[in-house]
Amino acid sequence: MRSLLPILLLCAAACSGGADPALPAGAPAPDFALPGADGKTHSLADYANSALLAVVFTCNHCPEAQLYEARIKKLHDDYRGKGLAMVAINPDNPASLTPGELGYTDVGDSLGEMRTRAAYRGIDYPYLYDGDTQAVARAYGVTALPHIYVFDRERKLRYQGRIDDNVSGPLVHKQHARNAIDALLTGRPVPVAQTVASGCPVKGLSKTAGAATEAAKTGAEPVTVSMAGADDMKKLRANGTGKLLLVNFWATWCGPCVTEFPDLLTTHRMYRGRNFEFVSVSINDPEDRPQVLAFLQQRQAPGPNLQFATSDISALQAAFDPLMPAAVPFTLLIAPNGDVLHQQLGETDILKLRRAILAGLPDDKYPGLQAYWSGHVDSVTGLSEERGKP
Amino acid sequence: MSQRTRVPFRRPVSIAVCAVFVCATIALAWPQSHPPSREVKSGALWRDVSPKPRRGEGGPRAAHTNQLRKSFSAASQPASPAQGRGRGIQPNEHPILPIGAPVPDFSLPGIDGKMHKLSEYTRTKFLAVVFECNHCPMSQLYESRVDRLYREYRGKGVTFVAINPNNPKSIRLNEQGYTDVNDSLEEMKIRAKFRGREWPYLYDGETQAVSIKFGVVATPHIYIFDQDRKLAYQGRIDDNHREDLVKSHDARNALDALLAGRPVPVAQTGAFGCTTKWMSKASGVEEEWAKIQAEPVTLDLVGVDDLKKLRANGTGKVLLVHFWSTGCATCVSQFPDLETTFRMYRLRSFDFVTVSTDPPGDPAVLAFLKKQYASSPNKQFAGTDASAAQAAWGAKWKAGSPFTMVIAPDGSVLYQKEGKLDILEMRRAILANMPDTKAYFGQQAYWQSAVADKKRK
Repeated sequence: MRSLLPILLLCAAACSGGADPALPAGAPAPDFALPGADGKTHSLADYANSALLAVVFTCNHCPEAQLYEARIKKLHDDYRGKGLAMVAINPDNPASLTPGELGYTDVGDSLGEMRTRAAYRGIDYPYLYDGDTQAVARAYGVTALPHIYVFDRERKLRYQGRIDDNVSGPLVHKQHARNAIDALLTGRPVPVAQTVASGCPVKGLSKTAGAATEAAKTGAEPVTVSMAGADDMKKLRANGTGKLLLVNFWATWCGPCVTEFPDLLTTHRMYRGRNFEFVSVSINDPEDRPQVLAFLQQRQAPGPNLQFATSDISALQAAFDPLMPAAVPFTLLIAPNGDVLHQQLGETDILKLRRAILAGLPDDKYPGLQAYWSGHVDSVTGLSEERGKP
Repeated sequence: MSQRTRVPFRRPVSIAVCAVFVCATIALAWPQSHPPSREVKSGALWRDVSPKPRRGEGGPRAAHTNQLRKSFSAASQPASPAQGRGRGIQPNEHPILPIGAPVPDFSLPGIDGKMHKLSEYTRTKFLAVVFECNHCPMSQLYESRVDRLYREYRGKGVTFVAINPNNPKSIRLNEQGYTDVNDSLEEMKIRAKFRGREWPYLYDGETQAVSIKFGVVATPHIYIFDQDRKLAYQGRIDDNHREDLVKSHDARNALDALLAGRPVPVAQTGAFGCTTKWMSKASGVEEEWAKIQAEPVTLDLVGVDDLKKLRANGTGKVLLVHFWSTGCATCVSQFPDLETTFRMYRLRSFDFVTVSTDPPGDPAVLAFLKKQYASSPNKQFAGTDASAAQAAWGAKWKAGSPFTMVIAPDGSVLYQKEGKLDILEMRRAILANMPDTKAYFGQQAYWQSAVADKKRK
């Protein structure tokens, strides 16, 4: 009973907006026909031959969903040979997500971005997109992501709710979804038929206004540029900010610099709520200050924005780092101790950069996410220890 | 030309394939670029936390809290997984040829239509290989300085060879804001003719194999080889792209030292300019075209007063205005080049407005614009009398012909043409008059002087 309280509290946060009624136990599986990350359309009938069907609502951007991703994959791997079909559905409307809500992700929740994530993480079960209308999520009564529904041979709902009882893999006590599937496979009654899903609320169509508000707020931030000399460059390289520091050297005349800049700003808006900072450094001649400022203002670059204080570009570059290449754009990610975690001469591969940032940010609210982005799937599951237990 | 106009019409390859490729690249690159993150993973976060806390020890919630506390204390540590290793800036993906290394062999097509091999240059005392290209403003800016080096040193036993390392297919339209043409061999010929280049200019964009051997960082990047064809200097031409501020003539110093039999004072400097457009890197050309296709296409009716306002050019930008109609074959055939021009220059102080003189209400106009993905501001004259439009504009042209004008921010006419356009001539007129580079380093002068030279001839 003690563990019920936090669940109820989570629900108060997660379920407050959810007006759609929960699918009752025994209800038939609501039909769907949705586009998948694999480029095909998937419908309920496609899985008619499977003994059991698990429908998991999950998404890209949500840290809880990321922490459960490997567990969902494991569930699929462990039970696909025993007659379980699994379908993941992303119900989030990508336009409803503000950059500030993307602090734990490299991509948003559009179908194209699902494709990117599926390829990056090797997701091999169907991953479908419901974000345009969210009709399927409504029919299922999804309350939070991830939210799993297990249907029996007759496609009647036999379990719905959480996958297990703790977002931290090693702390899992009760394998709700596994228990339900095991029971169904052996003809036993499902021990617990319903739990309350917890995680991220579904990003609804009605929240699009929020994105606009945040954009308007971003626009209102004052944009300035400070002239930076050799000492400032040395300081910048040493990174005394205590944060993970992204530095981008650019120039107004540099094509790739100008075109990649909005992506870097978006990246900044995504992670600035965390232990992260972005500094832009224009290597333009000091005389170009008006053009540099106009460019930064037009793109609403919150800064700090620096510009080389003298025309002696090579001296300032050497002051930053004797190993710094002279050409632009040059982008690098510096740890609080001054280590270079990522660098790119020429245009940045923005996803590669975001993944380096995510892998470089220490875990704050969600233990295991740094490992997720460092590419160590196994350490995230915690299941290898858990699974063999009675 | 043909190269550039073809690019936008290539079908985007499957995004899925692209994503898989990108991700595969990342997956391969990851262990090398972040080897120590393994230490983080083995981290204290999971291993020492018992999955089954006993009663009386706080239960799962307390354990979870402990764990969170641990992770928070981890957060106060330096974030770097490479902690203690002092990982600094790494060398480029294609390492620069080291000083003393023999000159890499090459056999490349030149603007003269011939193949040029390293073996052609055995007789000369010293060999300077300069990597340059068409599209990069920094390369353009250094072009005349390099040409002067060539003229001064050719009589002293130094041979100059220029090589373009870029593949034009890796260069997006929005990276071509400072150029009339892209970086293909055919376009190199056009540029060389326009700028009067006399010495070999070779194309390595097909495979980039030579550029990889040299480790070309940027355009321009100069490599000077001694009598034994060992690398004696590599890097920048001089220390400032603004010629009036140059203090150290690095390439010249190296040549002078070699000619005098002295050691080269500074053998290596950082090449400054536009980074090499490696084919191995995702260029975003397909993504750009997909984005262009998704841009909204609109058409607004305009009256006599609107046209007068447009002619006065209150935009503060260089304004290209093009009168056209769907029934005019020349208009239809040259329209894609004009839209391409818009996509090339629109990030600069430039705008493009099309004005259709078709009868108002003709659905063919918007249909054509949509087919062209013409996301430029498009207008249609609301009157039925095309001569009224001409009167409002203050110019006369043959009805049914296209009419094109480039207008300066102050309203003066920079270029105008009735009938078929020479698109390169028009682009050069635009580039020579872009106001935002005036205070800067002479890109405008590059185009102005060439335009002036042309006129003189």
